[in-house]
Amino acid sequence: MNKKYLFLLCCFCFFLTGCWDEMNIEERGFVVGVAFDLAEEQSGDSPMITMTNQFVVPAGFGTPSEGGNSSEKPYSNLSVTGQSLFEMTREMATIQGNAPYYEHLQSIVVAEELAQEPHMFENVMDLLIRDPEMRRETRVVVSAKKAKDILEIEPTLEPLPAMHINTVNDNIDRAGGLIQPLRIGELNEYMLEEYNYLIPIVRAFEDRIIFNGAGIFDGKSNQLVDTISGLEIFGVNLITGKLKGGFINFKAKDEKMVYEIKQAKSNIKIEADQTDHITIDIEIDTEGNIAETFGGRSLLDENYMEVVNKHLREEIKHQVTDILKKGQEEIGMDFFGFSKIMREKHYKTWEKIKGDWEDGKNIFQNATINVTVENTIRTVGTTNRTKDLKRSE
Amino acid sequence: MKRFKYGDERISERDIMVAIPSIVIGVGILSLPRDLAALTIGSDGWIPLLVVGLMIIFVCWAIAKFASGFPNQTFLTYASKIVTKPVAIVLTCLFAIVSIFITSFQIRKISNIAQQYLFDRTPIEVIALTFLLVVVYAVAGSRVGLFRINLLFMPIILFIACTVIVFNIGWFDFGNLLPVFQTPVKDYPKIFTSGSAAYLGVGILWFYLSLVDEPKKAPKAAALGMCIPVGLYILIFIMCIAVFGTEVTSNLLYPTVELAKVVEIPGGFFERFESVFFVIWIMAIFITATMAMDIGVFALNSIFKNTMKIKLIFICAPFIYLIAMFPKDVTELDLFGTILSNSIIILNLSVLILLPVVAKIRGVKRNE
Repeated sequence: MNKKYLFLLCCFCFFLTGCWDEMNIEERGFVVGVAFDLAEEQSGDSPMITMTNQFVVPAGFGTPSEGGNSSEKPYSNLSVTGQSLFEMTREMATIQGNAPYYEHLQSIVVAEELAQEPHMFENVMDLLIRDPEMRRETRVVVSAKKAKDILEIEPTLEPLPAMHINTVNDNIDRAGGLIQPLRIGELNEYMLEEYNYLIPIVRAFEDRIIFNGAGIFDGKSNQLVDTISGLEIFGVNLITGKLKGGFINFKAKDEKMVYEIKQAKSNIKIEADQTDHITIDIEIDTEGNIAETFGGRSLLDENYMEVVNKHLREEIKHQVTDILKKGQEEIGMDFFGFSKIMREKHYKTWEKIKGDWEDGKNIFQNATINVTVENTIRTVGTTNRTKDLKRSE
Repeated sequence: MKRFKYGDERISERDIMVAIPSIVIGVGILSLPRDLAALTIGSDGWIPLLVVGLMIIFVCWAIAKFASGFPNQTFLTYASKIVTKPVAIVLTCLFAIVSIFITSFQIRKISNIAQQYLFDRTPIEVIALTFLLVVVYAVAGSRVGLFRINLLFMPIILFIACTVIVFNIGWFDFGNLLPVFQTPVKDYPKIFTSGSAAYLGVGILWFYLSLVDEPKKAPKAAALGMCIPVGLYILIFIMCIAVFGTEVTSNLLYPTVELAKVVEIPGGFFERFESVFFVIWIMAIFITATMAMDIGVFALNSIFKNTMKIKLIFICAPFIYLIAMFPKDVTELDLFGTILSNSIIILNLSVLILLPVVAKIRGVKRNE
């Protein structure tokens, strides 16, 4: 009997071979940011891409009590050039000594130059969507110049440049002229459904990252077609109802004022009974307060506030119609999400006309768009006037 | 070797109520939203889920109702009375084979998923073998013990499923659910079959009812138990569509796993929620596989009364492993799953129709 147990015990040794996937945390190269550029030297038929990975160097962080080790940077950037991303990540493992690990990837920066090439952008994104290590919340931004430069800035507050992009973003609700970087999950949706989309453009300026405008991507070829400015994004955000907050400068009877938007809603109705000519009604409803005035009139005067509100309405309407006109006439693309609403609310009609939406019959370009704006000015701040006009005159 | 034995090998109707969701909730739901989204437009997939679900709830009730008419008798005993012994043996064998196939399917599927998301380099064969060994260990023990595991695991599984749903509310985009009712009616038969794939395992009622103390209460309990997966599936499906949109859902291999991956607990201190999800979901798949294998052994044991249970288990295990390793890739595995789920439905429905009808014709009395 004892021998039997001994034999069994020996057999169990075979199960003690350990874990196949055993991996020490030190051996993992945690990647927090990835940048894609067109390679400087092109060879062969398909374009070469330079991929820059930002690895975290834990030693560079230091513990709070030590005050950080300033001699060492908390990150190291590694660039590799090649044609397929998978090939490049494998190559990186051989250079760096530890395999890149993308589970904690925060942001992806793509150079504008690369995004302008047809189908390049979607090819680059394929691996990032497909790989099981990738998360669907990773953010994508476009860099106006070299994407690599974005990962090389040295921000003062955040130790890692790739994380810095996200911190800057958290303040999006304070400035209306920004859009959220695209989540890769959303990108996956837009690419499959062939909706046009916007991706914010960033610039590296000394040690700062500046968000400046957005790139318009064509949903079919997934290439960057045109760019719009921050002010225009503000208009787009008002239309899509994604505005989280922001401000607007306007003039009421020659007095400059700033209106701070606390809340904005939009309601889009599409009349699609006639397939060759559709009407889009946009109702924009904002709520906010007067943040700053350069005049001395009483803001508690109801009649005057009526006038202020009227001017404000006109200013908002002006900004919105400007960008709509630009989208319809200049760019000829629907990046306001109308096609999504068409698909959701008028599915049968949409199936018929989707080929003629932007091409062919140009239904979108010829659509009549009506904009109505409503504002509710909740408060004017803590004081009515900070200076008296009559006395200063 | 001495084995611990519970006082009696009896279960209550509450155990049946928990056993049903335990066996039904398995790997099916991990890929179910994809299959449905691929065939439907907008969020229409909930319709087949609900319709098939209601049908299955009724089937559950009907099986339990019929089987409860023969208290304390195994399927083989009462089936022999109704349709003669040879036919009864064939039916029992079919149930045993189907159950063994379910076990194989669950084991292979979870090995595939685990390899893709958790163990990058561990061979699938090893994952499957390890999993099978644990399943065999569980089946080798007391049958009533299995029901206690169910009772223990079920709340945890439901809790984690609800957590996935609740933490995704932040990403909920109502627009993705539109348009509604646009799927052409002629497509529905095909959608129904793919919707039914996730409701495997109702066959356990044929066998386990012989263990129930008060069979009279069982039909209601079984139907109630079946409501849990039906509700859960609809919720998860709607959530997948609302978070990802129909087009993306139909392209994700395991939308439910991706749903768990999207979860980000506010504050950013906890990112990899899917690891917790996997741990719990492997428990769900574990009880599904164990119950299926137990039914297989139970059925075989009723035929070979003189053979020891443990011997039957050891004979079955290698077969389960071989069957599990048979499909070459994901497509073949999916095909295997489809054939399996269809044959299960056909088997259960035909037995459900055959037995009562023949019993009526030959005048076999229930409730003896």
